[in-house]
Amino acid sequence: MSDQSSDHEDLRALWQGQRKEFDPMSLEHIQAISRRLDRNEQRVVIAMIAVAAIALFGVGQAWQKNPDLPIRVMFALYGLGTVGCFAMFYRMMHMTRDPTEPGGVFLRRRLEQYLRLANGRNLVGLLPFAPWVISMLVVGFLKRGHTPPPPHLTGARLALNLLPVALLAAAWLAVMLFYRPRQMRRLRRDLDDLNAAMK
Amino acid sequence: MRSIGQEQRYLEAAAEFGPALDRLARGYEADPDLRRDLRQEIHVQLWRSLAKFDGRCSLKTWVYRVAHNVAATHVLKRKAKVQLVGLDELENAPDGADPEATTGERQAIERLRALVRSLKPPDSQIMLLYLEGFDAAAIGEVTALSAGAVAVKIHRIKTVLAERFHQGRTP
Repeated sequence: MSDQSSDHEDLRALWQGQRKEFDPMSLEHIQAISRRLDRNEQRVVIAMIAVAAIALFGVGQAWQKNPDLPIRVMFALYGLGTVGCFAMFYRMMHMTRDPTEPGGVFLRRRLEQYLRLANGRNLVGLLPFAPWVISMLVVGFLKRGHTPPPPHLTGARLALNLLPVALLAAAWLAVMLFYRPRQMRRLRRDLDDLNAAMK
Repeated sequence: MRSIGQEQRYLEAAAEFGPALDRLARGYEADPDLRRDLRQEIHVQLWRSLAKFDGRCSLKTWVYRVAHNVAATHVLKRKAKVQLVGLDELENAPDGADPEATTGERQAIERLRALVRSLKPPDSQIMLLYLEGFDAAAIGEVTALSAGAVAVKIHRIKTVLAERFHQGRTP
């Protein structure tokens, strides 16, 4: 017993006595990287504001040029979607996360996040995109009948055109039926183990 | 604007725990380039977090929490590529290496690192903290796992280490 405990102490001493691999990092270097990260975050926010402003300007122009109410509703929805997406990305970037929360709490939050994503319950996060989707549906509805059918659309050509979509659909089905359930079971097991260990 | 307190605390933390943070990075990442990135990320996040240091826990606990959270994020990103296991799965699965053939310090260290890397968090965190000499209470403070769970996991760690490193010495 005492032999084994001294063996464990030897292993710990061996671990703690490892040779240094890298030179120490200077404070100036750390500060420079930290400042660069801050600047990058600011740049992303500025770029997002610029894109949103350009999109809203375009929406404003289109609003003025089109007196039809359905078209105006569509552009209003498009503008709303743009602002919603901006707000969502901004929130994601500036989500306050305590870097010092205990390891178990941090892991549990991460696993729950992955599980929500795998479970598809994170669709609430996609709500800002809804106005965009609606506006596209409105466009599709308004354009119906105006676009002539493509000439010489034979069955074989149609099948060839649909092949990439069919392949994508098959890949999506494979992910949904095989990969995702397995991934969810693994995540659920990890989360249950963690919760049990944190009681 | 960075405060003097933040600088002092970072320098103090880097001086006292810098080597342990290097070992932690070695425990989590085998690739030297990725390890360098991980180590840098740990130091940068530690520096940033120390601006908010409020003394709610000791500096040591603070440093290890930040470091392990950065490392856990790193591990979870690569988890899709590598299949990690828990301590309970390791217990009954000998690694096939002859303990007597790996008596060299360097080989033993390499095997220890490989063992830590094969574990999924939080087991890898507990194993690393155990190797760093933390007791069960201190491990519980860093990880927020219950005292009972930490005790069970330390027992498993000891069993795994005994199976893999001391078999040749026991009569």
